Amino acid sequence: MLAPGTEMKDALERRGITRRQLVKFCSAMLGTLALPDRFLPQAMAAVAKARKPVLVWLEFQDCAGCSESMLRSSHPNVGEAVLDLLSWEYHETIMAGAGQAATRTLDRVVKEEKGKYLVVVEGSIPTAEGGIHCTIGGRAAIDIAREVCSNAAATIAVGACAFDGGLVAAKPNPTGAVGVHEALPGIKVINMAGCPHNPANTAAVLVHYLTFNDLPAVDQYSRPLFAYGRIIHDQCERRAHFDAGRFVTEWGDEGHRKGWCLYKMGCKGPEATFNCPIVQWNDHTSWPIRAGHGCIGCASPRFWDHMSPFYERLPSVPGFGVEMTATKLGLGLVGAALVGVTGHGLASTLRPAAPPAPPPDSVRKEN
Amino acid sequence: MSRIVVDPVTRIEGHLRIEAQLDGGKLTDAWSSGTMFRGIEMILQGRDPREAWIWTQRICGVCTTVHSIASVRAVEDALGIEVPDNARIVRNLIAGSQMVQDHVIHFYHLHALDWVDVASALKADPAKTSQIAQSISDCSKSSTTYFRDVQRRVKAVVDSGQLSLFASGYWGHPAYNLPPELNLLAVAHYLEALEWQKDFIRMHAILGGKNPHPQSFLVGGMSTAMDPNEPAAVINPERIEVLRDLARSARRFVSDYYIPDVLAVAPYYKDWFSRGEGLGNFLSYGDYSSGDQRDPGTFLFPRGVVLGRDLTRVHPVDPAKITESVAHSWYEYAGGDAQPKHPSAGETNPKYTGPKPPFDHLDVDAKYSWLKAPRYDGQPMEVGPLARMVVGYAAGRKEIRDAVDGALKALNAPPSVLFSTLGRLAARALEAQIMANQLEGWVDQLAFNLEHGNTAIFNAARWDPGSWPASASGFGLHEAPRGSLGHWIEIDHKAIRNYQAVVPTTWNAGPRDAQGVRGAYEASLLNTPVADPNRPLEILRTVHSFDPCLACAVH
Amino acid sequence: MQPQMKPAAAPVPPERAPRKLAHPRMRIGPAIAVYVWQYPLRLAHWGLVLSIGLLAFTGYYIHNPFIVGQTKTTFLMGTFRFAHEAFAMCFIAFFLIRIYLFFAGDRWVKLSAMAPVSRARWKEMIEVAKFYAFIRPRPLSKVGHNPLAAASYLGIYALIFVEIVTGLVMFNWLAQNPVLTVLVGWIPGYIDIQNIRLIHFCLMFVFIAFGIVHVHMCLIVSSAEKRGLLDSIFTGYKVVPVDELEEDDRAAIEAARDHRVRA
Ligand code: HEM
Ligand code: HEM
Ligand code: NFV
Ligand code: SF4
Ligand code: SF4
Ligand code: F3S
Ligand SMILES: [Mg+2]
Repeated sequence: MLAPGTEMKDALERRGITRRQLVKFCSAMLGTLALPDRFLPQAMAAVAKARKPVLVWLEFQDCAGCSESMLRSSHPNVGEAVLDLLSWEYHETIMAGAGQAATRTLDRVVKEEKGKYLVVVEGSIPTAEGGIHCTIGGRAAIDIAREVCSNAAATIAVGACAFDGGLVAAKPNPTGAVGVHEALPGIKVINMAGCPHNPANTAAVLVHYLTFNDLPAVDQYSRPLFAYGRIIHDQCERRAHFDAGRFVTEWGDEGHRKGWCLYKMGCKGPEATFNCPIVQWNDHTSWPIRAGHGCIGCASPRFWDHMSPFYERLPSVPGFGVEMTATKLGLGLVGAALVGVTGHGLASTLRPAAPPAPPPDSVRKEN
Repeated sequence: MSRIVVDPVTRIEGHLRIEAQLDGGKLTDAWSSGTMFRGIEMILQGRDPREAWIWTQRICGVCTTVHSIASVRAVEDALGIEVPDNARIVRNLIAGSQMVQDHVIHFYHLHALDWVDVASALKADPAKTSQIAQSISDCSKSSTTYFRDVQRRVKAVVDSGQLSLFASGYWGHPAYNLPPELNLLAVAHYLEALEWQKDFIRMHAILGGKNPHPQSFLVGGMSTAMDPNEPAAVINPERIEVLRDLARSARRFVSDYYIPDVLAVAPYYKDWFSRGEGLGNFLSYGDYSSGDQRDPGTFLFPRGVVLGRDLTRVHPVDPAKITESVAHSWYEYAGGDAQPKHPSAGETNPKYTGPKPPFDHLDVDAKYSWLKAPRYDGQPMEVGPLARMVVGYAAGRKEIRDAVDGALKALNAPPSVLFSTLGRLAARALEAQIMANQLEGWVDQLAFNLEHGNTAIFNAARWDPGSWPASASGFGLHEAPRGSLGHWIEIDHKAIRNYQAVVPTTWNAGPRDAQGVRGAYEASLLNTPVADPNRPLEILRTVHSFDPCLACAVH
Repeated sequence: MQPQMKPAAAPVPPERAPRKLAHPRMRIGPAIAVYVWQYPLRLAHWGLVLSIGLLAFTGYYIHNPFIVGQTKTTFLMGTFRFAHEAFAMCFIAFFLIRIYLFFAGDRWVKLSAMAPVSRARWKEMIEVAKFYAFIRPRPLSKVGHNPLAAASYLGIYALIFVEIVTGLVMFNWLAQNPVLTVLVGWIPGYIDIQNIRLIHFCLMFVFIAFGIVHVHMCLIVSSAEKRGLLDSIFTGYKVVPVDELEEDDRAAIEAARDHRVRA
């Protein structure tokens, strides 16, 4: 079943690796996708293809954190992804060419690879004032995105910014920033939410695409289910402490040193979906909760506004400042009720008594 | 006379556009423009100051974390919080490892391709490359087989006709001077560095859960709880050993690869020791204390200003003298744009007046950039590794003097070569070395504290906003990889009233001020010869030597 | 401070003046005990009151675990969450009983009898409010709920519904039940989960505040009209002077001739 055909042989030679290495490489990638080994031949065949699919990586209103995150990918590592798996032809942060040499490359891909190439988008797209908040080569981001994404086979939006505007779209969203989905309704996009995206997941999506020539199954926000289907809280290593009621109550206290639950410190793990407890970060080294800090729900829709304030259990009550917590407001309401009824009650004692009701013994006999 | 436009400037962070005037083969003027704005300073208003660091961290994912440090420091300054010693050490480790990693990536992946012709590496004799490698470094990966494998891999890519990231390079440009063997060496190390950086930065994963954007800062300390006996503690003896290994790997990588490679490449580009000089004014806030963070005397990189390339005098730094001008920036100030503002009273009121996209040229006589123009005492300053080395050198700091003098000796050059494009490149490498050598010392300090039962890592006195005054203001300074970073915060009723970040790349890449005085990039490009206006490699060399980060610069 | 009382000039709602009520402060003739609150209604009322109390307690713990477990064997949060969910199921059951009564209950608890739909009812509500505001010396006595109270109860039921929905959204967020996913799974797409939580949390205070005001109002009205209003939520019966019965109520009671009217 795994007998390498000539194409496979060529590929191995071409890449200067052994079959064992290729098997290892492909199994690792399938591992990220949580796919069984029976897909191995398919994955290997895909990786071995002589002509590599072209990928272009666009950056708009980004911090390049998602690019950097991709550079930390380990299975495949970025060298493999860029040189062996794909032809990564445009990516401003790391590409060789600049200026016109760069834009010409992008134009060429859009023309020559029409309908076949993949686009990764990083960063939000500003829509206010005709897109003047982000221009590249004198063109507005939205125009570039429209042209490049609508001619692509598929668009992968990496990071919270490309997903739904991310931080840039947080209130008051000064630049009218939106995610790819909203900027370009109707295009085929998969959202790798997170701030940044986790490169293990994005690599898995790329591998899935290479193997099956299609994107994996997604949820209502077009995020792949394999990565965004479960709640952090249900996968968290501190969960037993949560159930037991063992909470960190002050940073650095005994519970904190013992790795207790961070719920009281504002952890949004119970609200957030993502697979970081399982795949973790930086080649499975750790993840935020392991580092003693609560989750901020970075893969959730509009998380900057919805999950903040990050150190409080609940969002601020709309219309009130950060000083006003829901508890204060609620206790205020209850207090007002108490004060109100007390006052009303006192005033009522001064009300002249109403005449007595007729005694019950005057009840009319029926039947 | 012609106008050269480089947009996008690539192998940087963010969206930078350079317009330059070419006259007689040389640049006679240049304009640096940042073309992307997000409004993070505006978005911060009204939010909880304790979480400002989480937001500002996303100003940049390349120098990730540096804005967290400046931010927590600003809030701690405003509220009068002193952080425990362990928090200082952990922050140093996070920022220091960030600096080393960032510098390595900059050299190999962002800057090297300005000096290294990848196509030429195919012509190299791997055996000769191996010889060179062994002569310049003790690095074990230097066999002929190793370089032959790399060459084969590059050849496979070239033969496939799918050159990936390298498709659009200026290969064969006459300004490439390296022999094929060195080109091959550099390409091999490009790949090595790619692999190393992702392993090394696991330091951030251990101390912050992930990189980019580690998540362990707190106003008042760090969330990395320490305990000598708890396996679940973030910092315990077992983790200390991992940190130590990583610190050592940094030291090894810088001494086995980075420094030898810089010293090997530089002699082929001697011209660039006298090009790209720039302003000659250098500013460093100083940072990385090994004792008391409030005492700049304990800083690894000292605080100071050097003016007009005068290495004999280090002027003190007075943060009150920092201002930002928007005379040529797409903002408006309440009191008029001619008057610069101190960041504590700073404003971010975007007002675009540039051409409607798509456009060919900016109106450089009017406003032409999203960057503000920071000034110190009214003067433009260069910040960054070169500024830190210059200030440290002028201040007579031993580690810095030794490192700089050693390099100058190896290159057989006088200190004046520092003020150049290559000077910046070399200063960055030396700084990476000083920092890489320092990391393990901080791990030792941390280990010492852990062993001696000092596990305090958070100061809880001001965590509860109920303990805050009705209003407070403060600022936090940091030396980020690209230079001096400051955050200013105004807190009012437990919420952020105003937040201003004045960022290294804003100093360097900023536009002209109200007096028409150029920023560092603009000044450094003057007189640069450009051989082929269609392939302005020379512009890239100098601009890249600053390690531009435009997301930082504009935010 | 002292409310101005003008008993003699106490206004009678104009449209009710022509009725055969004599002077409002006078009672003529015998009174009857009317069975106004069937036992399912009382069951629902007390079931809801009790479960709101328990849900508020357990819910507050979930919000802010004020007791921190120390040993490995405690299952504090687990217990509180389990209890909250169990009480929630009871709460939903009582709510459903009450919803059923909106359609199948007797004339005083039917939805149609409580909804402030006609102009006349709005005017009556104003009269009630005038009593609370000391403008009117006597409450506007009704056999069933007074119109203002009825409206506020509908309001509180609406909020209870919101509380249940938000609770179910959170429950499903954690439990991923296929039926619930169809019923409420779409909601977080419009209101994010944290704001769902916020609504759920804030309503808790609304219920508590409502309970306080509500009990107070019942006490005030009860003591003012002396018809055993407070007793009625325990026993089901209110004492109503026959002469004060409105025509339709009288007809209904007479037509019933059964358990609603006790000898
Ligand atoms: C009057 C009725 C209720 C009150 C006062 C109440 C109160 C609360 C409170 C205060 C919380 C904590 C919110 C926070 O996280 O800050 C909570 C959580 C919750 N409530 Fe309720 N609740 C009520 C009814 C319900 C109902 C009907 C359900 C239906 C299933 C429900 C399900 C939940 C769930 C699932 C949670 C989240 C538990 C968790 O995070 O583990 N609640 N409730
Ligand atoms: C949070 C606590 C409570 C809530 C949410 C609540 C809610 C309600 C509701 C919705 C009704 C209308 C019944 C119907 O027709 O559906 C009602 C009626 C009534 N409740 Fe409560 N109740 C609470 C506590 C109490 C307590 C503690 C008492 C007694 C001390 C009480 C006494 C009454 C009485 C007397 C009535 C009939 C009042 C009328 O017709 O205006 N309630 N209550
Ligand atoms: N300029 C800049 Fe940064 C740095 N270093 C930060 O403050 O890169 Ni993104
Ligand atoms: S999603 Fe986060 S990491 Fe990615 S570009 Fe946006 S701010 Fe940066
Ligand atoms: S730390 Fe956060 S995610 Fe983990 S169990 Fe506690 S609340 Fe849940
Ligand atoms: S903040 Fe993001 S990285 Fe994971 S732990 Fe939370 S989803
Ligand atoms: Mg600023």
